[in-house]
Amino acid sequence: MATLNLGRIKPVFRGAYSGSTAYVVDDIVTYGDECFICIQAHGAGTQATSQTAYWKKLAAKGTDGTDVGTTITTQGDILYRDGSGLQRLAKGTAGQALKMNTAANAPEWGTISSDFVRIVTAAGDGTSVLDLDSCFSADYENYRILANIHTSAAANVNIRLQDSSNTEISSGYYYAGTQNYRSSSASGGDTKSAWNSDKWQPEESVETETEGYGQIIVQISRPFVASRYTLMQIDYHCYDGSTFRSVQSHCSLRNDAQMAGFRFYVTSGNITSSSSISVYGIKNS
Amino acid sequence: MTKIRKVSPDNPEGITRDMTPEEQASYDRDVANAQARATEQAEAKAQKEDLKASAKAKLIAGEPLTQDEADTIVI
Repeated sequence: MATLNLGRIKPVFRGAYSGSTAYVVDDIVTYGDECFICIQAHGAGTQATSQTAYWKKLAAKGTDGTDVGTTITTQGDILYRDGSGLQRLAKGTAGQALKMNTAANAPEWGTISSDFVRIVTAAGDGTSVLDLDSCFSADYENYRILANIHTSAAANVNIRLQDSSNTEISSGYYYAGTQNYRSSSASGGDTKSAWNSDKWQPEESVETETEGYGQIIVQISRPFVASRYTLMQIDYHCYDGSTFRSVQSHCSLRNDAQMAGFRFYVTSGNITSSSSISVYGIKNS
Repeated sequence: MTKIRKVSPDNPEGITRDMTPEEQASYDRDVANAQARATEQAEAKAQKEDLKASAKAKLIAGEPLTQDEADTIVI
């Protein structure tokens, strides 16, 4: 019976191209992450896949990708793209937030800046003196203190500023203010003022009821600016169970040193553990 | 010994401790000054009330007032 040679009826995959192998038409090889089919038979080592008269490229290699697993390596890392490709942003630290860098072309971790920032909150602990040290700095020009004070007995409201060593300043307080009061049967008011006092005492003998607090708002201007006096004002009110008192007072501490903190103290009773004082910094620009 | 509490941004939990002898001496002076001032103000207030009462009585009786008495009713 006669035999008819039809040749190959399908391609044959020959694996990776080898210069020591002869190839025939329809052999398929891989080389350089690409795939070629032989279109003309040739001897071993005579025609590389770059010879287009012998090889036809079936599949071209794509652009190399980035191995994400080798780019971000640590728990908390973030992947982002810069001008050339994927990049790793190492994790930030506790409390930081993700924001854009100054050039606005890449993310970075940083502290969120605000014009009104709580610096510290202190709780009372049954002491007669409560110091808030090192809470003023060059970061803010003005400060606001919000306090809910509960005292164990009728007490004076006394405030002193502290210098950069957190040593209380006990002279140079010039202040004037008013108190208005109202009870079920009487009302009235008086003034409280002093010239070069050892403390700022907006009011005397005020007391808070068991269920209530003395609400204190103090504004302090430029305590940390050297060669300038510190100006303060207080807005205070309380109810002792029989009399409601409202106090406003303004004080100038005529001491041009940098002030870093302040002291609340009472000369009778104590500042109970249900009291709290928060200091906020306010930026001017 | 009087207690003092110190809190800062670096130590928001704060510490409560006894005052040092120097702090205690300073605080004791503050307490003494506060008490003296309170006594002084109470006495001044009582004296002013007395002067007002005296001034009122003299006005009703048509008698001349002292300078201190006049000061209590002239703004």
